[in-house]
Amino acid sequence: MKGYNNSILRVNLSDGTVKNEKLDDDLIRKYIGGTGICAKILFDELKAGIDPLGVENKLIWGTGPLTGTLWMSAGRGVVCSKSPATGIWAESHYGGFFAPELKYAGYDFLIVEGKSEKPVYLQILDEHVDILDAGDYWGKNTHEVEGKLKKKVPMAEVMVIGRAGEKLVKFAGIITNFASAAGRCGLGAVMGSKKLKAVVVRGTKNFEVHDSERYIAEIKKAEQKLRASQQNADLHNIGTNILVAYKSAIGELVTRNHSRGIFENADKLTGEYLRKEYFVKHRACFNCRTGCKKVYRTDGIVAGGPEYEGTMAFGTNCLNSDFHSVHEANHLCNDYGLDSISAGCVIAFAMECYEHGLLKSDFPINWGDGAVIIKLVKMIGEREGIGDLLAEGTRSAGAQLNAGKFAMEVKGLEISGQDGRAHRSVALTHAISVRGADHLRSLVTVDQLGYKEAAAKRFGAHTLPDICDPYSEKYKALAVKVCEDVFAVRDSLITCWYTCGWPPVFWLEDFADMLYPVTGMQYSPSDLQVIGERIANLRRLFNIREGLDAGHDYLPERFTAEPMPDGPAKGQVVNLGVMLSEYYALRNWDVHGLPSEECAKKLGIEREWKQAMAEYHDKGNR
Amino acid sequence: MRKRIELEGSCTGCRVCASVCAFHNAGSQNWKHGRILIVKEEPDTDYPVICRQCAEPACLKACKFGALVYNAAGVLTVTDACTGCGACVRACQYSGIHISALTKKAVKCDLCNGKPVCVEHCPVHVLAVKEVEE
Repeated sequence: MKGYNNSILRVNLSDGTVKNEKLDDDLIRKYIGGTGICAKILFDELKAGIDPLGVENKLIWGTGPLTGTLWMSAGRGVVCSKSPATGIWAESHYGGFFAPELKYAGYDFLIVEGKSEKPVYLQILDEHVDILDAGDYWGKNTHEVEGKLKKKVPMAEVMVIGRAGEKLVKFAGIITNFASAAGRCGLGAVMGSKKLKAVVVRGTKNFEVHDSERYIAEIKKAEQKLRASQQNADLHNIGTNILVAYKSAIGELVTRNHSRGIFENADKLTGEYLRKEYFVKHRACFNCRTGCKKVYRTDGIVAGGPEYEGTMAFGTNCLNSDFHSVHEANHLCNDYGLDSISAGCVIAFAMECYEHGLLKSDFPINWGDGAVIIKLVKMIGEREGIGDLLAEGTRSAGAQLNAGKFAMEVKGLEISGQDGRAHRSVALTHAISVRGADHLRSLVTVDQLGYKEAAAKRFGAHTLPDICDPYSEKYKALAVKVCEDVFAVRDSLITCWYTCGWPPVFWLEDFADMLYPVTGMQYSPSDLQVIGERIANLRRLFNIREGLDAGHDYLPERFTAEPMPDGPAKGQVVNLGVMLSEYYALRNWDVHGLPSEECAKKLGIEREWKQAMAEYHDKGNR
Repeated sequence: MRKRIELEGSCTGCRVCASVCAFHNAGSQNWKHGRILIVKEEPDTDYPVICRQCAEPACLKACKFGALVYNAAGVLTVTDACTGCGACVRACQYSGIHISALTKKAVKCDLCNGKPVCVEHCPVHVLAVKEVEE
């Protein structure tokens, strides 16, 4: 198939074997690439109940047909596995330059299995694949190691773990290009458990597209569409920190461990303020026409700066308006190889526990103390003192401290920087997201940003005006379901969230237009929707096999029982039950959140459904 | 008047220029097959490396096979006579010419017959064709 290398590289670290396998055309037709194909491979190859940090777990680096092409954001890649943070499906997408390089080396997917006894790194130079000794790099953080490996192998790309991954911090991420991360779900700890320090790749090959003339015509069309988007221009000028002001306006700026939606000192953290005070330059991922990344300078630190989520995590959510410490904490996370969202949220949790006397510490852990935030990031990265407790994640620390009510997590993953009380659709997104409390798999922002015309086009005119109401549950299940399916396609292509944000520049019809000249496959938008739905269901089945069901689609009581205390959303709480029922019905799942046989048949995943349901029931569930 | 492509502003390091060059001039998706390359250094350095269109090109002097010739527009180009020996690459102090991993022959910017695709597609509009002051 054009647009692919039709090749999977499989490396076993236990016995050192390296195999090149054919990527099956049927797999491509059914799942496209990226998250879709990873879901199918991991469903087939991982047994339910395995230890995510054990020898049986596998890590897959995935690309898609648009990775490495001239498409608007062709630098995105995904890493999938079973998560040590949550014990369920893990996928973490990253920007930068690594994923295209893997394709230029001749591979669409890289599967790493087994476990090495001593520290190693994997070097892929086209067909020359070597498992090399990483003794010199073990114990060092990501920036030093990436720098050294790139000196050793010029023009290569590197994905690397820091000390946090080595020490199996449950939310350790994998870092690339110093400031990009496959951050969420603890995949850095999976690498650490395999004693795999880094993957180095350099590719000198080409892969072909189906129809060059039409390909370049579609690229030019897409470039024009993107250039006409104000959202794209804003993201370039300000970056994702533009959200600080947007969210303040609607009372959704995540503050004080997700308890409030307003932060009085947010003016020192807005994207506009950071641009004025600390901006050094814009940077972009591979072939990205947006360039949302910002390099900032604070006292002695020049580095790829925090995105909105980092600013939320170490800033507003910890009541910290000192950007210097936010920037340093974010930079430390990149160096240690830590997920900044989870690290910041577990620190906000610690601050609230300390306030209520539930966490004992030999130094004060007060709200808003930037120096303490930096100290705690290091302690987590080193698993020192209470850092060892926090390194297990919010769910585990909450249980140990009898402080579950302050643990802002779903399925074991710390909640990202949204609040369903002020942005109702995201309550459902956080509750149902397949990797835990995440926004990116089905983030709906129509109820945050409006744009009635786009809403009518994507969800139907009958949904107006309720669908745009951030404080109403009405039609939010529909929007979440539609977006989850579309984004499963987006994450299989793989392309960036920011090209199909809101109002979306690209949607299924644009992906279909692009896929033909690249792959030669004629997809209609509805074909792609079915593929997205298939992927969403298969990932759900991966979790059902682990014993999850509707009981795990929850939200902390903070969102459902504590009314928003102040701001534009004052008094709001989430009625999750009503949205969940509607969502399950739309998906043709039963009241327990289990896909029906009819649903599985329609999507052509009946065999996987039978297997998952059998294993679910074997566990004594229902 | 000699012309060349110059950076006029801050490069984001996206490599769109290199990718469109590789596709247009070599039919390849791999940016490294292009004639313009982007160097990235952490944490904040990105810049293009491209032929300076020298008045007295060291690459031309170094080539023993007559593979570098001026085209009708007066731009030095690589012809099929190139053996890929790399003498030109070693002679150029600007890294403006390199051996393509795809063709195993030298490649350098020929200004795309006056309409360079890198300039056309640069998303932040920091590449420009400039006349060289003699």
